[in-house]
Amino acid sequence: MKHKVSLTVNGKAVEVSLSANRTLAEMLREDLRLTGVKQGCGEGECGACTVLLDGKPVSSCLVLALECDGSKVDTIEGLARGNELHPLQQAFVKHGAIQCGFCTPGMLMTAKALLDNEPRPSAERVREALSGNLCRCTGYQKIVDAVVDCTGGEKSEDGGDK
Amino acid sequence: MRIVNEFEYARASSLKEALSILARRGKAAAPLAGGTDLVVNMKYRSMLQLAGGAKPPPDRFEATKRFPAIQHPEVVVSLRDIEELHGITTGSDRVAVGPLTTMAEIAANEELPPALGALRDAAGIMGSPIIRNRATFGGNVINARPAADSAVSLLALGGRLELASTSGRRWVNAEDFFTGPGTSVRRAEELLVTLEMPCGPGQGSAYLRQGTRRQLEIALVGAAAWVEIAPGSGEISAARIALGAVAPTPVTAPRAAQALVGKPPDADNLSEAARTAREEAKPIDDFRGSAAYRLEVAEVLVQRALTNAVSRAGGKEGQP
Repeated sequence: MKHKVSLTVNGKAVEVSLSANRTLAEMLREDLRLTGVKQGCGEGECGACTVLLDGKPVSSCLVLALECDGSKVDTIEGLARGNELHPLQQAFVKHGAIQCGFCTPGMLMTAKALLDNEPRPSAERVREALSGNLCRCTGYQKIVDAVVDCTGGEKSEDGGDK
Repeated sequence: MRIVNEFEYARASSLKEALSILARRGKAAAPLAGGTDLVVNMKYRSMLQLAGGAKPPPDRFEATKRFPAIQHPEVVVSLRDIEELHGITTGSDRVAVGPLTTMAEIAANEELPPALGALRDAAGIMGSPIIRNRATFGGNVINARPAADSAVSLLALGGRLELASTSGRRWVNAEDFFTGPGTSVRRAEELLVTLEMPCGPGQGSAYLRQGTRRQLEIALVGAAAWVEIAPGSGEISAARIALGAVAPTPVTAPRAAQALVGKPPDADNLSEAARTAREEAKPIDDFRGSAAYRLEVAEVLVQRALTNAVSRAGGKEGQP
């Protein structure tokens, strides 16, 4: 049996019809073709599938899509403004915080949520906030450096969107 | 990894509606809170099914044993719209927490009194920051895992749980709630509607966990301690100690706690209580660690948790 779910994804209202056993990650990737949402472990351990659900980072692989009815979802696809990268994305490029790139969308969404709520976190706080997002390439230092680089007054224009 | 089985999705608009679904469907129904356990378990079940009975790796197999009662739920009952299951009510002598309150909400709540420090500690380290945005206090307790961080705290806090069904409501003390790994006295038609913990002046509590990493960890041992310091004498007038991952359920260490009553909260007395708590623990060897190591760790954690609880009772912050 299919159910309808209405939500706002990256600022656009969408309606999807799906069965109850589909997760938010599956809906985003397969129905909405937002394949920037990566699915790694599928059980909430790796953070690759992180999207913002009503502004908070969540593992989209553990959320039933139907539970998001009426919610606002933000994915990596909504981060850049046209051809202009989000400051966090620019910082990731600048610091070489990306190697294979699989964890990057989740890292960026978690980092965005952090900076939206705390514009000037310490490096330690950044590490703590990113501790649910695993990266097997970079050793994390460059990722932390990139996020910290965005805390010094280079706040994104949508940084206060709460 | 996907959930292969189809199920009905019932989004309850009121508590009454949720209870009536549970009354009709019983064990075939799975109440859905944050989903961070339920969805994983449904995926594991699917994987086992697809493997056609092939033996999965041991850690996965362990996980599939989490929900002995629910094979594949026929109906998932979404609780998200039931307002009364959300939020924290802080009174002068007790705090009531709705089961759908997330770990992140509890960890961030600065209104919670020092008496409930153990709960904030547990809520702030369970899972990962991302998981804590969805995982709920009620879900963590109701799943009744022996290592559940918040369940261990609930025990030390002397908490109780209110269960509701179409035939009425009942209160169960946390101490009487857990019956085995993944099992509790909750009946299939019942829903957890409130978690309540007493609080008062001169009280403090703390929870600490040992594992191989700080985030995304399941406790090798968890320890929670709660103390009440008498205003005049400065002696301990009441104490409770609880341990996780040292028995089939979260357990209390009543002898250790009782021995503290009437004594000043000095380092010797706290260390003595920790040694007694170690004697009360009954851990096993498993893939996370040996029983012998767990006993060592239990003593250290109880000592530290008691120290933190005492400083919080005196209005100071505990050490992580």
